[in-house]
Amino acid sequence: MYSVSMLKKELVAASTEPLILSLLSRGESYGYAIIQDLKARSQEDIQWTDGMLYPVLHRMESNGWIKSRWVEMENGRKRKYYSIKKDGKHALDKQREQWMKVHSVLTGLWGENYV
Amino acid sequence: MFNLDQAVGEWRRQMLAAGIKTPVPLEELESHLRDDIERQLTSGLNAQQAFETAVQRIGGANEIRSEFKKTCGTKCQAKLSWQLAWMGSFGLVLTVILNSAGLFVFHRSSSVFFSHEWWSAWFPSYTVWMIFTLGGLAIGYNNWRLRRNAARNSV
Repeated sequence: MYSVSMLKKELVAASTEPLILSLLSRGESYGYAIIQDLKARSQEDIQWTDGMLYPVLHRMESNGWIKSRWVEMENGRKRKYYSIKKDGKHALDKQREQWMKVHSVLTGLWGENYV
Repeated sequence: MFNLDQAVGEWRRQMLAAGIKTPVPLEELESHLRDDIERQLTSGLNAQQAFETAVQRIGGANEIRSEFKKTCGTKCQAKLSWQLAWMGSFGLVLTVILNSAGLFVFHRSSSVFFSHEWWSAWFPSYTVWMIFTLGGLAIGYNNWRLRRNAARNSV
C-alpha cells in the first residue's frame, strides 16, 4: 500500500488514521495538502504513494468520522475539502489514548535500558 | 511538443480503463495530480517532467482501484442488502396482486390460497421472493451489526 523509505509500512499504515484525524482537527484540508503537510512534519520519513490516501479518506468518511465538500478555486478548478466530525474527534481521542499508552510503555522500557 | 492537457486526458482514460470511476474518485485524483504538477512546475521542472513525476507519485490505477475495493466493504454490502430486500418485497407484492387477480377476477381454482393446485402454481413464486427479501434483510442486519461493533471499538 505504501512506499516507505524510513518508517516501516505497517507502522505508517497503522498511523494513517490518527495522523489524518489530527491534521483535520486543526482545520479543513484537502488530499494534496494533507500529504504535503505529513511529509513536511516527518521530514519526508513518512512516504506514501499519493493515490493511496484517497481510499483511506473515503473509508473515514463512510465511518462518519469526516465530511467533505467540493470548493471551486479562483482558477476554476475544484478541490475536495475534508473536515473532522464529532465522531471523528471521539475516534481521535480514543486513538490518541492508545498511541500514548504504547509511547509510555516503550519510553519506560527504553528508559530502563539506558539508565 | 508535449501537451499537458492531452497528457492528463490520456491519464484519465487509462484510469477509467482500469476501473477507476468518475466522478468519484477520478475527479479528486485528477485534482491531486494537477496540484502536484503545478508544484513541480514551480520547482523548475518542465511540463513533461512535472507530469511524469506527478503520475509516478500518485500511483498505478490498479493499485488504487484495489484499495478502493477494500474501502467499499460494508457500504457496498448495505447497498446490496437494500436492493435485494426491495426487489424481494416488490416481487412479493406483485405476486399477491396477481394471485388475487387470478382468484377474484379470473376465478381460477389454482389461485385459491393453499388449495392443492395453488402449491404448485403460486407457492414457488412466493418462496423465491421471500428468499430475496429475507436474504436482503439478513445481509443488512449483519452489515448493521458489523458497523455497530466497529463503531464501538473505534470510538
